[in-house]
Amino acid sequence: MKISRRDLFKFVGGSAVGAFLTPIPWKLIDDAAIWSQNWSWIPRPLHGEIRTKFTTCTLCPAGCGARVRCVGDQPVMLTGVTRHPVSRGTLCPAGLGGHHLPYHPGRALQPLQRVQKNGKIEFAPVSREAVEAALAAAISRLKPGTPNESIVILDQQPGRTISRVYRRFLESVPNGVYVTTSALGGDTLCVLQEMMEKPYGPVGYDLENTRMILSFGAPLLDGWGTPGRMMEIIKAQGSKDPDYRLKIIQVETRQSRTASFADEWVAINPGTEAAFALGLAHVLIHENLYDQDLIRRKAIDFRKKDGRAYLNLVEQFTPEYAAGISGIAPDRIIATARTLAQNAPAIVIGGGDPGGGPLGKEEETAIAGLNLLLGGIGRPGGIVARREVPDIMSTSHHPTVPEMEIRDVPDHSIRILILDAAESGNALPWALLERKLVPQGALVVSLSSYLTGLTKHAGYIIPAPTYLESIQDVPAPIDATTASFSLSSALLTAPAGVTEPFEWVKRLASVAGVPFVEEAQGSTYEAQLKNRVETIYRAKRGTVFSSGDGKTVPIAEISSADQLWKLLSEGGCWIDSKAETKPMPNFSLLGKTKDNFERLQVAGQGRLSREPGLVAAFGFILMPFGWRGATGNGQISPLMTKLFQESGLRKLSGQTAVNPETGRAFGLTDGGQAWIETEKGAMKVEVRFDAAVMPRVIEAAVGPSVEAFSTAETQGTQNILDLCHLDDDCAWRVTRARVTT
Amino acid sequence: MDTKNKKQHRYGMVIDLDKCTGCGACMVACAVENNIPPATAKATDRTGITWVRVYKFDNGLPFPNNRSAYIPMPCQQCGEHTPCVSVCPQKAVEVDAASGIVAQIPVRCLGCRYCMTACPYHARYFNWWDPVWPAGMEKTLNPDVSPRMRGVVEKCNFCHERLQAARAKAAAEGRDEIDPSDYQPACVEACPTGAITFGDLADPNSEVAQLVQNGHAFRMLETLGTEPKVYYRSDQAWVRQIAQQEVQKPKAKEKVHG
Repeated sequence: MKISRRDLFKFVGGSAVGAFLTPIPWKLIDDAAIWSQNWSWIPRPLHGEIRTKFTTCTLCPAGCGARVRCVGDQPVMLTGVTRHPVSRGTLCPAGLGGHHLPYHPGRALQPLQRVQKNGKIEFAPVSREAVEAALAAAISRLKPGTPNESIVILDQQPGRTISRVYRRFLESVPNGVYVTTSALGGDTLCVLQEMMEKPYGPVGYDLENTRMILSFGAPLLDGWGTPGRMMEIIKAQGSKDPDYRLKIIQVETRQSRTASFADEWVAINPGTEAAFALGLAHVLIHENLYDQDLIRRKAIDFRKKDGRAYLNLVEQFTPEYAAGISGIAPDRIIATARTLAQNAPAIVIGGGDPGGGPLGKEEETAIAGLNLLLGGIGRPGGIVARREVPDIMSTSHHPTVPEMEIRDVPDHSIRILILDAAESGNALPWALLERKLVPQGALVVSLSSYLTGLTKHAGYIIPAPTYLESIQDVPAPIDATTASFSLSSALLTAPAGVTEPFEWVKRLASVAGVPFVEEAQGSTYEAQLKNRVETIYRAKRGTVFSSGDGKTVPIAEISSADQLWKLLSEGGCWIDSKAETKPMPNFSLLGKTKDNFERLQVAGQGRLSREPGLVAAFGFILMPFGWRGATGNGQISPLMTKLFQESGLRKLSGQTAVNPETGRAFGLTDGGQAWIETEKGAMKVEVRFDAAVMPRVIEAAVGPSVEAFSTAETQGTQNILDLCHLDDDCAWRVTRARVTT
Repeated sequence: MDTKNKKQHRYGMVIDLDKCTGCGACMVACAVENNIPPATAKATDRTGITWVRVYKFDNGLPFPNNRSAYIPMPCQQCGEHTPCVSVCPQKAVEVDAASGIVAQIPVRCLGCRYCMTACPYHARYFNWWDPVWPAGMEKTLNPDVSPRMRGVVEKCNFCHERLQAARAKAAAEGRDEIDPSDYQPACVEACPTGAITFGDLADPNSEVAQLVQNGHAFRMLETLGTEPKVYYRSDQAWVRQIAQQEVQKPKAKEKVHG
């Protein structure tokens, strides 16, 4: 048979067409798809024995229990611990990604010094000895008895064993001051303590037994206090009789997550919380809805004796007057006060937003006053006393160094500022700290594990171990009704360049030649913690929860302090027994400070009342907001891009929202860019229209930048807090702003 | 596995929108469990990968009567006429007859993204970039799930590896059926308010099956007839109305050419 050229073409063509009818090409494509799954650069998970360990989260002061799934010794997953007495099985999104933090690209892994190079800020390696020498020299220059030349350690998670060590160190140096920050969930409680004539001891909110919460901007359902407590209450709501369900009224300018889910959202004018609280007090008193017996016996300033008493103050704030300031109708103020009285026991909580910052002392005084009027202190469902965690250092030695909140530190008084690594989770503007520093020659040292937030402003960085890399203690959360104590274990080895703050303080004391706690000098931090556990064991109070088996046993059944240490270091939690009801001391509804009448009167007019003409000139009121743990000071898992960048569920730095009508009136476009300008400067932002935003308000996120997930933030990335006006009382909640395209 | 004589399951979930606070714990837990990498700096809400995505929506009223709610959207695990299955040229999407789970098989995927076009719920995601974790963080990957390559589509599979682990445990203990408490997807486990209930819809005694009977339960885009196995519920009428909004029916002319 003769094969022609045409036959050859037909065969080749036919074969090519026919091949498509066979599995061959599909198999080739399939194989190509499989091969392409196996490139060498695609990470391969570790394999090995799967183990379960338990620990306690230290990313914020809530102290949630965490179950750690490990491959060998490497943590690969964190989840909540069912039945944990503090966190009740819950772990927040930040906690779920906590095991990524040791590998965050923003970590500081060696001592660094802030230098300026070609007009840019850089962090250059420096020896630990050089930092210690610089600090020792600065300490030696401090003149004793000069309060305007102080050395301050800023501790955002007070109550830990290291907190005690800091205070002992500060006793040994001239002009030492131990400083804490405003605690989200605890501001009202702190102010309440200050209103008592005699110390009442720590207190907490009895959320489980209350019938109503009136919250002034506290993010109750979004990371507030110990998040697991509120979440458990929400879980149980459905199964409760509607008459006995917890009722939440949220008083807040912004429609936060809590405002969305509250039974009522009271959308109040920016910065007018004091007027609304005093308006409620007016109704409670005029309609005799307050606890008359308690007030008669205990309130030292209730009578109209000198014209500057609480009654005189409240009398001004009629519902109509309070309505004119707060923007809430008089009828609604009256109805809210009646609801509060009818739903006893009720709790009134202040605090504000994690990004927007604390409310201010005057507002908190007015809010704490409502709790006193309602008679909810020391009663189930109200604000109840708890005991301190047994602590040998607190019983054997009473610290002489004063403790104060950063906002109470005199301006321009800090010569040396040491920032502790632990974070409160709330925003803290650098401008606030800068105001407290001496104008020239202040030395700032950060013990942070990351190059982020406030640390970017420090002159030196001594990196500390991060979460899961060192053993730490976790005291009771500020909102708790019983004391608790747990440990966060070192599940990973810390990198070589980091230094445990306890060891560093010891070294610094040695280099500076200052006497230090004798028992600490030859000791380790673990030994200090063991001492504390032993003290708890000796007190023989309370119960111990074991994370491994979920059982709780009385401490009397624990055979030794070593066994208690073992249980706690394996993720257990000691819980104190309920404190006995303590008789409440006398209190002042105006607070103890002499000029509080005038201060409350001014605060009642609203934070923007002092320069009313400027509202029109600036057009907008800038209100920052944030999410606890993600306000830019601490660090969050790179996986948080899912929430911030890949879904828009949470807002990045530079993202803002305005009311659509206001936006259009000012020539803004939805999704467009705009400039926010305040007295402090200007910043380019992205604007979104949102019908939930109050007209004439621009809500701006205090969050991470996109770069923060993948790089070290060595440059001073602009933050909306840089634009906020700091009031005299260091609140930064409302600022007049101009918004232009 | 021989499934002929075994009980047929229909795993599904009921998400209580009145309990979802939009915290995002489900999204993070899902990413940790399924080795979903952090986004590159270029990624956006259109190119990012979130197997379960929480959307915010509101009642459309002006301030101060505006109210918002949150809706988590995983793959809806369609039971009938599963759109992604029917369009995949590579058989990279399969419905597991034993569990009812719609599985995505990345090694078969060519990245044509027909399935993404077909999915009415926007619950499928494409790998636009190589999966990259910060240096050292790859040690934290879940050993039970393989990372996927650039160029393939992925989606929620109800944490199928957890079902396999539960099956292995049952087999080791000589049981034919898994203990329902052994199989909970990562999002369900992480939800702090207990808004997500998971279980076997085919078991009338399961909590999830009973919740579906609740008058306030509904499914997304029910008129499409895809029979999703993810249900939602809310006692608030405006939430149900907005979440249940029907797809606009095509005009008659479009039907002819459709």
